[in-house]
Order: sequence, then C-alpha cells, then structure tokens
Amino acid sequence: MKIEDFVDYAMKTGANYADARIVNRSGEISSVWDGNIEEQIHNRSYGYGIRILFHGAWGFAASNDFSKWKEVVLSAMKVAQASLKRQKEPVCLAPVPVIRDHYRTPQKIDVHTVSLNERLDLLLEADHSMASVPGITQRKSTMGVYSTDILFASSEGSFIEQNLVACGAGTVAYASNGSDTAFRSYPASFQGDYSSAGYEHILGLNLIEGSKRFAQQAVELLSAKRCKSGKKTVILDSSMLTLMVHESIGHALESDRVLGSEASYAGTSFATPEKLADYHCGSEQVTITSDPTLPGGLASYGYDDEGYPACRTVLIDHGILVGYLTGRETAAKLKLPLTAAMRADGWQRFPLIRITNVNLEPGDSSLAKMISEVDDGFYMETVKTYSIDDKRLNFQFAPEIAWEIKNGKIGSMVKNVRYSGMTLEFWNSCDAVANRDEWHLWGIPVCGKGEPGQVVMVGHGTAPARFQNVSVLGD
Amino acid sequence: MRWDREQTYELLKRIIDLSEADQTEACFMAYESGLTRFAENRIHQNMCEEDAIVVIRVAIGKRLGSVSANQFDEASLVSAIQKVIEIASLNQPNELFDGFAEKQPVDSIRLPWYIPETASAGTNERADIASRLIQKVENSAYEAAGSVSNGVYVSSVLTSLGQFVYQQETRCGGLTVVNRPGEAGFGTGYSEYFGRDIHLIHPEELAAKAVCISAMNHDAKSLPPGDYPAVLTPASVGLLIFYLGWMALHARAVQSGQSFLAGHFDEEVLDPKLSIWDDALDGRNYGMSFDWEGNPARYVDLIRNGKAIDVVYDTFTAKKVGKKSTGHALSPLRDRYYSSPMAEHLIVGTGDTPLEKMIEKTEKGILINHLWYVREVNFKSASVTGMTRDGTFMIENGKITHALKNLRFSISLRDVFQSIEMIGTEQELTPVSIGTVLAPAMKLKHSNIDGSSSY
Repeated sequence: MKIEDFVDYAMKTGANYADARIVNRSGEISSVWDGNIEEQIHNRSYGYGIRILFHGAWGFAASNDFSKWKEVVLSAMKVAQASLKRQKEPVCLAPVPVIRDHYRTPQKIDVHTVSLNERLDLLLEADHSMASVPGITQRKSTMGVYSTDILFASSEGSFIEQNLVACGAGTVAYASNGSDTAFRSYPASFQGDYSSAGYEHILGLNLIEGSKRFAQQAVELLSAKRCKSGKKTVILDSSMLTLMVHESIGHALESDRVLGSEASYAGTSFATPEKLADYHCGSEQVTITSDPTLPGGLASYGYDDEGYPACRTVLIDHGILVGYLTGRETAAKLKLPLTAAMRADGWQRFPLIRITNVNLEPGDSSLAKMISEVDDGFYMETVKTYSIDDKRLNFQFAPEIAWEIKNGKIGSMVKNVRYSGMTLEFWNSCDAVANRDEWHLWGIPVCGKGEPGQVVMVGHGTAPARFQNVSVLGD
Repeated sequence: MRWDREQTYELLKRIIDLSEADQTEACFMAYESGLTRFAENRIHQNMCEEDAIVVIRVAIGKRLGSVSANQFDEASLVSAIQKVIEIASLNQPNELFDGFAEKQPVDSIRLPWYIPETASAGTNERADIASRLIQKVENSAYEAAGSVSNGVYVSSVLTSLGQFVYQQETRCGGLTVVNRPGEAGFGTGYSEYFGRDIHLIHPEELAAKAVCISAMNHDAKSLPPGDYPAVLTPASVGLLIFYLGWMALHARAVQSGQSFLAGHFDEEVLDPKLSIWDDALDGRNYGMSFDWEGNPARYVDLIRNGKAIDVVYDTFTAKKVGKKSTGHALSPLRDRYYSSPMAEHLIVGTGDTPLEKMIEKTEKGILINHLWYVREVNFKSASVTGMTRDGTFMIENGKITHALKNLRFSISLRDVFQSIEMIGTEQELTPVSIGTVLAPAMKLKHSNIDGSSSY
C-alpha cells in the first residue's frame, strides 16, 4: 500500500479533490527538576490522515491503523457528505503547482548522533549552575529533540517527502523569600529557544553560563523595586517582542480567523479584508514578513501541508497591511497569493492556517542607541505573561524582568511590571527597531489553535524595538 | 471501540512480559472521536479520528525512562522496549522514585461514565445537531459559529507489580458563539454544554441562549477602570478556579513556595463561604478513578469553608514530604506547560443564591458571561489578567441596564475569593486546559477592571 493508493481510492469513491499525509513523528523530551531527571521520554506517533473535497464540502478522517486505510478513506467521504448538510458556497481551491520533491532540514551536527548521556550532562550542568546561586528554591531544565517525516500526496499529482528536525532547550530558576517569588527563564520563556537545526543550536545556547546569570537575576528580583503606573517609553528586548508579534500580528493576520472560521474558539481579527492595502497597522518602522524559508526557523520547511512551496511574503510593509497568511481555500476567497501557511499538528489533524516564521524586520537603530535616547522609560526582557482579546486588540503583557531607563542610561531593576494597550496604537508608536546585528530568530515550540486543539512550532525573528507612550502598570 | 478491558490488558501484559527491567509500567490511552465545526452558518471543518498510544515506563534500580508508541505489532513493541531500557540505563537515578503502583483497589465513579448512544453517534448525528443549532440561529437572523463533538476514550495502566486499572468513557459537547451580521453595534453571545450524554446537547436551547445574549449585547459602552462588584456565570468561575488550582492547589506549588497556601495550612485563607475539593469519582465531571501512575484518585479537600486543608500529590511530590500520593499524576502526554501533579477534577461547593437573584441583589456591578485568555501574572498572590467576551453587562439597581465593551481585568484570585458575596445554587461543568471544573455562579465583591476593548 502506497500513499498514492489512499488518494486514488478517495477519487474512485467520488471525491473531487483528495490529499493524504502519512506522518511519523518522534520526540525526545528530557526534564530535570532540582537535580533529578524527572522525565526522559521518547514519543513516537505514526499514522495518516485523508482530506477529501466532495461537492465543495470538506471531510477528514485519520487513523494509526494502516490495515484499515480503505475504511478510513470511506469515513472521510462520509464526513464530507455530512458536511454538505450545511453548506453555502462550495469551497474553491487556489491552484498550486504539481510538486515531486524531497526536503530535509539542514543540520551541522545531527541531533540523533548526540548521545542521551551528553544531552543529560548538559542539562544537569545547567541545573548545577542554577543550584550554585544562593536563594534559588527550585530549578527546571528541559530539552527537546524532534523529528517529523511527512509524506504528502494529492489527487493533482503532487508527491512530497519531508524530513524535518527541530531541537532546543531552556531552564527556569525560581527564587522565593517566603513573602514573594520570582523566576527567570533562560534563554527565553516557553521551554527555551528552539530551532529547525542540528545539535549545534543547543550548543550555541550557552546554557550553563546563561542559566546561572539568569538565576542570579531571579534572586535579585526579590528585592527589586516596584514601579508606579504611568505612560512611559518602553524598549522591549527581542525575546519579549516575539510574543508581541505572535499575538497581536501573527494571529491577527491568519486569513481563516479574518474570515470568521475561528470565531467560536480562537476568535476573529481586527484586520478585516476591506482594510487590505490601506490600513496603518504600525509606524513606518514596522515591516512584518512571513518566511518559512529562513534557515533555522522553527517553522522552516520545504512545503506546507497542502503541498505549497515555502516562500517569503510581506504582510505589513512599513506599517501598511498588505497581506495575510493564507491557505488554498482562503487565498481563493480573498484573491491573494498563497503563503505556505497551512499546517497540521500531526497526521490526525485537519490542516489550518498557522503562524510560520513571522518576523519583525530589522531596522537601523541599536539597543544602546535606543536606550541613550530615552529620558524616562523601561527596558523589559523575557515574556512572563500575556493576554489579548479575541480580536487581537486589547493586550496586557508582562516581562520577567525590567530596568528603569533614566537620562539615557539603564538604572534600577524593577519587578512585577506589566504593560497594556491597543494593538494599533502600540505598533504605531514604534519609533525605532534595532538592526540586523541584534536580530534573532526565536523558536517557540507551542502555539495553540483550533478544535480539537492543535499545537505547532512557530518562529519569530525580532530585534529590540522602542515604543512611545505605553501604559506601564505597577503592582 | 476496539479496546475493551480484555484486549487492553492483553496488550499491556505483552509489554510488561517483554520488558526485562526491574519494574515496568504501561499507560494506555485510546480514543475514537469526531468533531464538527461550523462558522457563518455552515459546516466548514468536519473530522473523525482514532488513535491508541501506550507510554512505557521502566525502572532499572532508580533509573527511569519512558517511551510512547502507537504501533503495536511485535517489532514495534520490541523496539520500544529496547529504547526505553536504553534510556533508563543511561539515565541518572531519581532518588524520589519509590516504585510503580502496587496492586490495590480503586473505587468506581458514582454516575454512569459510558453512554452507548454517545459512543455510537457518528458524523451524521453531529451534523444534524449542528444543523438544528444553525437553523434556530438563522431563523433569528443571527449567524452561528461553534462545534459539536463526541468520542469514546479508554484509559488504562498496568504495572509489573500487579496493578491493573481500566476505564472506558464517553464525552461530548456543543458550543456556539453567535453574532448578528450586517447590523452595526451588535456583539456576540455564547453558550455551551459539556458532559457524557449526547442526548443532553440541546441545540435549540444552546442557540436560543446565545441569541438572547447577543440580542442584549448591543451598543456596548466603555466602562471606566475601577473596582466593581462582579456576577460571574459558572463557566467564568470555572476558569478562574482552574487558575487558582494551577497556581496554588498542588504540591509542587507549595513545595516551591509559590503557592499562597505555603505555610498557611489550617488557616482561613479564603472566604468562609468557599469550599473547593477534588473528586474524580463525582461523576458529573470527566473524572478517572485512577491517575497516570495507576494509583486510586482520592478525594482531596483543598479549601473547606475558606480554610486551607490540603493539596494534591503524585508519588514524587509525596515522597519529598513523606506523604502518600493522592492519585493526581498527570498524563505523560500532557501539555508540557503544566507539571504534575494537578487537581484535574475541581469542584466548588454551591451556595443558596441563583444567578438571577444575584443580579436582582446587585445595586451596581457587572455581569460576566464568558472569559477569554486568562493568564497568570504573579503566582504568590495568584494574580491573573484576562478579558471578558461574548456578553458583558452593566447591572444597576438589580437590573441589566446595558451592554459593556469587553473588559480587561487584573485580579488576585487570593484577594477576590477572600470576599465572595454570594454563591449560586447550580454547578456547571467547564472543560479547562487540564481536566474540568464543576462550579456555580458567584458574586464577587471586587473585580479590578483595567479598561475596555473597542468592541
């Protein structure tokens, strides 16, 4: 039985279009808590999903049991027939080229050649480095190594094989003095920093020294000063900006959300289609791109799960909304180019429009220059918390750590700072972005969307940036 | 569903027999489920799926390793066992490991947990429910988005020490968000039902409730920032209680000092009207009679009349303080944002004031129908921020007077649950990121509103 058989059989049952994916995904997760290796797990999930378009209605079925593939194809057809009970206009698909290709994630050091011992030793050393800091009450270190082999075939003749690899690591140091707690995540929140790359990425994280430095900051935070609420100039470091880009721009520009398909769960978007090409989403400094071709991006791949080749797309050009993340259905509806953004969380899920590597393009400033130009403001690092409304407008974020900026210089450390605002005002207040030397492509392994919930890996390239008149909240 | 008790035992026994480790544990989860999504009054995503996964954990002395696999032919299982033994051999000893679960009884859930009609409902039944809901909404000139889901779920654990537990259960749900297209000034309305019996999804009732809320949710006004009394629906209370559970009511939070309960057990830490417990056997929630270490899921009093009583444990956190696990180890395949253990079956005790009476007894306050994107801000004070959505209203002199734009709130759960004015009489089930919460409506004396969104 070959993957093409799934598609051929689907077409024989009357489908107007069909595609199939066979996905073999494995992952190794290592987790050290307080010097104990609490978790060392190797996950493997292997199965297939069939997507059928029948008279303009979708059906999808998936199974881990390859012996019953014909039954599963028939299930997908039955699901499509049931979908016909409530349809309006039939689904139309934007055309895609017929592709027959193979893509593999480039790796300098093949992650699978690095022994478990070596990986655990690194985590334990990072743990020890945090434990050596007086005042640290709890430590956590994690590492993940993932491989995903995807076979894709469509009734239009595409056949694509991809071998994707991703890995990353991170630590969290917790400090407590009985009445207050603080923590620092190195090098970033959400389990650290991940990349579609080999083990060279993990070695480059500088986990041992970095974790110790952040652990010291966690302890210092306990006695750091608190701040008063007010309108301030704020400089966000690049890791903090990843989530601003993610939540207020990346999700807002998913075209399924824009068209209302996610209204019941993830919500809708302020960036409605009539605004395209004539809408100031940000200042002149703000250019946002989607680019799954970037080397090392956590959402870098050869093709999306509809078989469309990865490509770079400008979404916001110097502040003007010029594009959306699209899939074949929404690109046809909006008459926009495809962006290779349709992705599924494994074999068992219907592909959705997902954030790719969505990036704030570098500017021409630098962190040092931006700080030197601020009389009274804050510099903030590392996402602590985040919340945004269901149209991606009203947000509140908090960094793990912040420093006052007084008269062009970094001042006292400040704790429990938050900032809030409205997306459009915030991005329109951006008056400087640091240059490419300070631009970093971060990898976040956990972006959720859809029903049933789907978690995919996303990337965000950002450099530190400065924003004016931001509502800073103390506690 | 293929995986009955005997078939499951046979598979897990085969795995245990293949393993040459000192101790072996096999956790099994399988499901057959379907979900029909709709938006703009049409079905736009419709799917069914099945999977079966085994997580094998072995111990060589105190060295542990885990693998998961979803292919069960002989070669795949042998390969998985070899891999897990390799992992354990290379691992460092875990001094908190005290052996896998020994043979011991587990109690049964107190209400039926498997409804045959939910198990057998297929794509046509789901599409019919969705169609009825959409029709009702469309008849009122509104537009519906939402989903209908059902599934059969098998959970089982077998250890080489003889513990075997098994549960096959059904779950289903329906939810909708409606809006009035083409007419300016109207906001959304929301309603949901989650349970085990597909017959209890009443699509017309869900539609009518959501339409009613949306109809009231028009020409919404901004609310100045400030401290307001707030009446919360059960679903809204459920989400806040989940965050309280995650930030404060489990052993890891106490042991790290992050929980405000640390050092304050047997003290009144919350309002004396409030009682919270974890009971997997209650039957009205999605409980499992055992946890993912195979231990019985025990009833745990967390907060009783405002007093901090206990938290939940798995074997590792229990070992740290010389206690026994309460049976709250999370699934090894959970979202890694959350660490084991956690209270997955939270229940909030009822009071004596129905939601309508709470509104009547409110001179000035807000009514919150649904919460969105709640996130932690500060663990020690159990502070969170979030938004309201799908219907927020002003209450004045005992009546709903107008709709409010969606509100941003920032509250300390410790503080707001220290001053509860009234608690509702009926509990409703809310699925959350980890498990469920069964909670009644509540009137809080304080809720700190930071401001409004633009809609």
